[in-house]
Amino acid sequence: MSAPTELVKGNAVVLILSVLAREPMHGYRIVRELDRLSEGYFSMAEGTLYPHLHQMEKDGFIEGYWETVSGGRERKCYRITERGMSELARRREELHEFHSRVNRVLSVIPEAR
Amino acid sequence: MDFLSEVEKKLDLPPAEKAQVMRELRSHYEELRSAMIASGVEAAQADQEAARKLGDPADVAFRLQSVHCRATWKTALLTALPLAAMLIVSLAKFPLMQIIWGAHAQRSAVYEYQTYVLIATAVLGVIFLTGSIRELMRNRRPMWLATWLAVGVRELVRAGHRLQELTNWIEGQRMPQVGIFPSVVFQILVVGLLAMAMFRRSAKWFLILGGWTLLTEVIYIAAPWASLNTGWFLAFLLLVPAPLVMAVALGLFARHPYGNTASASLFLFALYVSVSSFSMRDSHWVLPLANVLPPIVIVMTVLAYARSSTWRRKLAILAAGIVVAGMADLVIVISGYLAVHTAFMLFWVILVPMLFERRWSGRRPELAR
Repeated sequence: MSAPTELVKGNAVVLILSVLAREPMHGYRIVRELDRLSEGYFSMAEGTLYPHLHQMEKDGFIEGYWETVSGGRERKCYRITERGMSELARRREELHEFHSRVNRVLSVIPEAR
Repeated sequence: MDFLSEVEKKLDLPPAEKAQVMRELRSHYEELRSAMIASGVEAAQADQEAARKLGDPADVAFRLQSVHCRATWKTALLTALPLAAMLIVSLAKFPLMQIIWGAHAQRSAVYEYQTYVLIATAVLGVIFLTGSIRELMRNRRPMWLATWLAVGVRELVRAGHRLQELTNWIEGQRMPQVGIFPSVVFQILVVGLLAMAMFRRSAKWFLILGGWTLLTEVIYIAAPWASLNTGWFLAFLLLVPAPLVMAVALGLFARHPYGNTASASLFLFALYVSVSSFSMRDSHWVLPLANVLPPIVIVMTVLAYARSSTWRRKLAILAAGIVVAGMADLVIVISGYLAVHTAFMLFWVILVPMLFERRWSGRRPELAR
């Protein structure tokens, strides 16, 4: 089972920031981590990750740098910034609030017989 | 064509920026492919699977293009071209001819002037509108489409007015204002129908726009134009059909999957920028200046818009361009109309599309989709 595309798209920033808050990563690994942590629920077309990453870089939430790994292969890694950390805290708070309200509303639905 | 070459083909970015984006995508693609080969998948199949996992190249390219919105110099020049063409026509028209022939032009000179403007505007209109229709039919929204479409429509409308003015001059009438009403009534009908077509899926907006079209037509047919002074006449001409034009701009650019609000603003900017010809006076140095200085500001604004790298900056540049061009206009020719026009532009070109974006789409206006 995977999440609806619109839901992933709408929450991409908070999901990416959450993963990057643990350690700096490159795009390929971000996708793998999201996939692993969500047990395949947050799967996305991997190319669409980059517009999000680049927009977040422009917004100052993350910063990118190039590194060379074994075999001479180059990859661009991203690390979260101070601004990104506060954005993550703000969005996490927002999501918690939203979920608790949704759950409260859903809890009044009578059990199906 | 494989994923990477297709994205590369569709990305229209300055070379250095494009190279960085492609380098990163290529790195992801190669890592994906290597991982699959390491897990026992054959090379050819790994290529296909990697491309599939990366998604639709057109979609990825469009999203990247939206984030990296800085155009190449080629696209920037293409975007500014229609306004530069207007500047060239402006350079050669009335003020210079008036200087050559003296402040009080003879009837033949006026006739030649009118003919020149008619032909120049009609040619510009046809060129830019044809180019725009081609892109619209292919369902594409390149950055330059906004200015090409706006100038194409605007110049053809002006050519229509000039044709009627010319007819009036030939018939010996000096006041051409009344002569433009039939064409204005027709234009509003066309714009109104277009606006209604854009919002046909929303019954509420369809009816509002239909009602506004009808109201506008009634105002234009029934208003006591002869008793109005030029200021009121111009204000009516500008303000009454404005909501219909806004609906078309939003429908064409802001609500289109490959468009955005900043392009709708650019379209409105190119459509409404002042050409100063309304406020000319019989002073030899003022006339050329009034025709050249604001259009230069406008061309520079569009170039700066195209070359700026965020949507927020693009809107700020348009706002600055409106203020500077308006001030240049006002310094040269003191006119209440120009002050109203500048205020209208700031509100209508910048604020309203941003409010639309926030109110109806629920997106941050400066963010690409």
